Amino acid sequence: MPEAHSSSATRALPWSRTLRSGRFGNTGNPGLLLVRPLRDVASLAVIARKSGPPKTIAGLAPPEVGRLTEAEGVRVAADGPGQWRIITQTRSSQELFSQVRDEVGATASVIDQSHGWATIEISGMTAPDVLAKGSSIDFHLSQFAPGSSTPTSIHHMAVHLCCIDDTPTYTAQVFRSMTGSFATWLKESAATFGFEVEDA
Amino acid sequence: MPQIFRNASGGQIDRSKLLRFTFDGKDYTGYRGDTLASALLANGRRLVARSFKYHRPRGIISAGVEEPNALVELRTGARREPNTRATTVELFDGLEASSQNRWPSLKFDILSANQIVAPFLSAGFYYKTFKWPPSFWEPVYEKIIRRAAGLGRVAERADPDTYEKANAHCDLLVIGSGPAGLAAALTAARAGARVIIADEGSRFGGALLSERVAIDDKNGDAWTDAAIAELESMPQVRMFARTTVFGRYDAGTYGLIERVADHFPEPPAHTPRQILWRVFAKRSILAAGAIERPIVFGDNDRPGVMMAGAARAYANRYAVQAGKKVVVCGNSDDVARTVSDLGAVGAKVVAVVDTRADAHTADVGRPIYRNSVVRRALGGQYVQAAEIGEVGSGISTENVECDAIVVSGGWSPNINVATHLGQRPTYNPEVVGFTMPEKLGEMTVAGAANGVYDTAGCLQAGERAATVALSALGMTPKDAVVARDIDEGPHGNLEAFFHVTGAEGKCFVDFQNDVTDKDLKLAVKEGYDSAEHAKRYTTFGMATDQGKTGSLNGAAILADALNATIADVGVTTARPPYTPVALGAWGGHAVGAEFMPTRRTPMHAWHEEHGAVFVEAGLWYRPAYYLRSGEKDWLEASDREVLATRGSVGICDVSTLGKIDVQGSDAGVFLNKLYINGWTKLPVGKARYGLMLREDGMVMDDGTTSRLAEDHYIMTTTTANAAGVMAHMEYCHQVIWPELDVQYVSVTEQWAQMAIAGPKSRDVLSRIVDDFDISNEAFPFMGAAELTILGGMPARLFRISFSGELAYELAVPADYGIEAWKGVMAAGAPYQITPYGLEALGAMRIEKGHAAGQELDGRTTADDLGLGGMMSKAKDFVGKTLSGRPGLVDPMRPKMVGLRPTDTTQRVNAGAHLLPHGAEKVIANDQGWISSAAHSPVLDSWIGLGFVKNGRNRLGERLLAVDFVRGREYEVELVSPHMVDPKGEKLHA
Amino acid sequence: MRIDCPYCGLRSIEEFTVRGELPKKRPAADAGIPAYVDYQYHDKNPRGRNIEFWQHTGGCRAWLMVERDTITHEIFSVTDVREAS
Repeated sequence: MPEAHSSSATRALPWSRTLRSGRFGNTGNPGLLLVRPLRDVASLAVIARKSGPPKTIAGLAPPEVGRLTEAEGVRVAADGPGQWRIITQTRSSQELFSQVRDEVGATASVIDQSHGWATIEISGMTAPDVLAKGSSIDFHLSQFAPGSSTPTSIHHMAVHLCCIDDTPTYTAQVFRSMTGSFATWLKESAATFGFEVEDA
Repeated sequence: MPQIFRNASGGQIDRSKLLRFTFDGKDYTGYRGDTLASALLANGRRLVARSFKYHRPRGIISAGVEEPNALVELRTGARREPNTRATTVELFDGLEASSQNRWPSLKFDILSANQIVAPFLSAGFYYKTFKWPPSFWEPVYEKIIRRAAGLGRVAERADPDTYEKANAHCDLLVIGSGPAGLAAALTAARAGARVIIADEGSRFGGALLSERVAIDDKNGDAWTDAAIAELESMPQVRMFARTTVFGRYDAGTYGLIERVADHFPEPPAHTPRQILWRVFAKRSILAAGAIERPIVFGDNDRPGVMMAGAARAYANRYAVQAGKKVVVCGNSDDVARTVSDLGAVGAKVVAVVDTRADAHTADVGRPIYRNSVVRRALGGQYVQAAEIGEVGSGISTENVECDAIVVSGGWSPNINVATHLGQRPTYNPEVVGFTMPEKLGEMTVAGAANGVYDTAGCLQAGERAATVALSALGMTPKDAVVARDIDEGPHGNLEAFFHVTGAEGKCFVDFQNDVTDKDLKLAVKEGYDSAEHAKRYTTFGMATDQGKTGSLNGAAILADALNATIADVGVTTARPPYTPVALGAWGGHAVGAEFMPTRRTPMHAWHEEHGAVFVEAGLWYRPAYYLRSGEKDWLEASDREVLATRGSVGICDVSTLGKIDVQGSDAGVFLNKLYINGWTKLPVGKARYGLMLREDGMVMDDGTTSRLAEDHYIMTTTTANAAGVMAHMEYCHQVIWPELDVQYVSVTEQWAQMAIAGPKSRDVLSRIVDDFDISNEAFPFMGAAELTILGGMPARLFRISFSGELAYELAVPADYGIEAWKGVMAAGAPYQITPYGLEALGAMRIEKGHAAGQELDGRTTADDLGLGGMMSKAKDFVGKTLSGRPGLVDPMRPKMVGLRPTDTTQRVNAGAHLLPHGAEKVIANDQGWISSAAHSPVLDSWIGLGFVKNGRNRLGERLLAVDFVRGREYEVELVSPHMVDPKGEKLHA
Repeated sequence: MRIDCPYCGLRSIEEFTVRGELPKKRPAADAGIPAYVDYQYHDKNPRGRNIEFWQHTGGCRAWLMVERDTITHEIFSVTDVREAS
């Protein structure tokens, strides 16, 4: 892929038309959910080749299925057997792509998905209850603990989830075209607990 | 109106909270803590419903979910809800309830004349009567039956409330919160297990709330309250009140319906009306208690006849008298307990009737009829007397005046939910009821649900069941639920008694479905001699009842008629849901526009702002056309878009096409397996059209795939098949050819893609590409390149064409989509670049004879589409062998042709069949069909694509298009599908 | 119904897509039409225990061999087809 030369183009935020910032729903509830759409996320799919798997991905040991590793703002999460995704806001997608492609060489194929996967953070003590309205995963913190990552589906949408701390906070990646439906689902499911959408 | 049947003290109601409500428009009052049923009874309101078939007057007979009679409509307008059991409705201020299934009023119901013709309404009546003639069904029979036999009326407007669905997980699900359920939950939770306990009532406690029980020198409430408080304090316990476990499904999955806001006039803000829970439980304990069964006697449905346990519940929990002068009838020591509880709220028991010859009720101080039974309830719309006679005598000896008859036939374990997976209950003569086997998968049945009816026994059974569950979970019980000095009234010493023989009047076994003992006997006589057949013939145990109250009575009557035992007869299968679940709850948030997720392209907002009218293509919203002011319809807009594109340049959002990134050293080999044509020799920087078959030889999908590097291809699929093709590739790779070194992932979402088509498309693009030679020589037809545009924006450019024009598809990362689109629009302004939608796209591809979804319908082969020549002979591919089957290579198969009406003003519609002129219009004469149609502004005619037997050799022939759906016929001529620019000169320009 | 995906753990049925019972090995390219007809169409379809292909479409996309009782829905084993051979 040719390097982009300081394009004047700015990346649109796929959530901008579907998630206004502000407080919504049952805002008197102490378990207010925080919803944070993430802007300018760089995200890659890394798939092991026959000559793989890669020894490192973005400098990190590739996590086992169901897990994630993270350092200095770069997260590598397992997507399935021999497949990972990188999520970071610390560099541009082109920069990340070139770096990882060089790093893994012939051990893996690398595909830029920065624009295809829209990312959102969901945080708060009611977050597991909200997610349980969509997915059959057991979100109890003893089961889907910080450091867990998995693909699942919510209301017929493919969603990749990472549990990143014990607040708990989750990142969800959904297909860009479905941000409207995912946001609608999230707003309807979180209304009973109350939620605050932060500025991206 | 004063609550004349309410005792001045006692009960668990809050007399400081007076609630007003209406029933059939009449004003009443009750208290917080009441149900609608207890409040109606407190007000002396006996007649609450008319029965389903005979429109007989009906009253409240139970205090729980088994209530078969008191089905009412709640609320009005859009929130009107029919068939709600008054016994489970929590009273709230302002509640509006009304009776149903009566006309014009409850007291005077014209259709109660059905009773007079009742001999004709016997079992199988509908099957026997409404058979002939068939033409009468819809206009005559159905209308009459609907009016006569319908239950309540559904609301006619959309439900304004929201419903949710949610999942929950636990080690142990405890169903029911009576003594067994509480003991089980406490035992498991104390050991650290994750416990969910659910109860259908508004409060936890089950029978402890309605019976007078004292545990450990405390009254029942204090013990219950302490148990509940302890459970509430433990974080590993989730407690669901107002929640019914309605179904058991495989692998420990349970359906629960939580009535979050049914007890409010309308749900509070941001609160769903109900939540449908799916609980995944490693173990479960069914502690759902038992349901009291009636004694079947004459006119046992007359308002004022009530179950004894219900009468005690109304007395103990609601301080309501079942009557002022009560006859108590039963077959166990529950009789004595009932007499005592009724007395405590000031109801006068005027007679005690016990079927046992040695009844232990000597000390009750009322007239006692031993070895006797109530044979008939006398009166009109209310009970006025009980007709009493000796058991088995067949005659009545005495009438006792009364206003209520309180009956107990014993208790039936409530095993409903335990049977949902098909396990059969067996008759347990010790219990006089059907119980479940011990081996029930992850479930254990405990307490009254297992035939244990004393409180101490239930506490022990709950604890024991929890211990079994803990051991299966690899956990050990910690603190025992130590009891217990228990003081409760007399119970037990039951002597089985199910029905009175030779009684006058109608003897109901199933109140809800109006099934009598005679119906069951008739069913047997007419050959429906198994319980399941009799159920279907008579409707016994059907609908929401599911045999809750009378199933054992019914089994006993069938056994008598068959000279068999109850064990032989068995009970009918109960099916989920245990109690009705509103359809809204099953929908949850998936209603309206978000019934399924919707998908929008990165340029959606631009389309919206520029007059696009959208059409749903699968989940996607795509512009169908862009309506300009002054244009009258889609056709005018589409014609303009086609002419502008063919005349100069157009732009179309094709982001929805499936895009799959394929990499790896075997990427080309893999594509060779998937497509009928070859890929390993495709040069880097080139695109190729590919066709995929299913293994059965039918076409699966088509699209262009480009080679970006030696080991890197980018495949496109049709919008509709994108997900299916991806799954197909995963199957082929993972299952059939795992040895291939190939990696692939959907990048549909990563790339915004637009088709720029028309003779001026190169001129437009040349203004936005950065340092890229776009000339025909440097970038010829089927070129593919990675480049940048608009000063550094990464992009991919493909010189491919669906419209048949000089055309390109330009892809950019999705977040840049809208900026790239605007850039193309600006560059195209001098050429009047015109956005076009699916209508114009469709018209242009039909003009060119390009197959699309209507042609790739799963029944067509590559050769049917005229693409048989693409099939490689040199390699194996999916579908190769089976596409050679005789039926698929038959030259007489329908082949794709172009179709033009001989009268060019005739509209062509897809779906019409093609027949020879003069032939009879029957399928035997069918020559083919029209698959796609469009208006071609270039040809100034409607045109179509279709399939005609041996069609390619019949060009020039004329056939009659017969459109039965639209009632039209017109002549079409078979032509080459390439109807515009047949030589493809424009493509290569 | 729930399937214990070897990668993702226990998930409910809406995450999976069934293809049908485990077919025989795909015949060689030159095996001829009868062999392919058998491969494509002739299922055992037993009442009771059987091995089926399911894909974890709403998850890791793995094709799984699920040994399942078609009457009780009890699942005895779940294996990634790539690990099975």
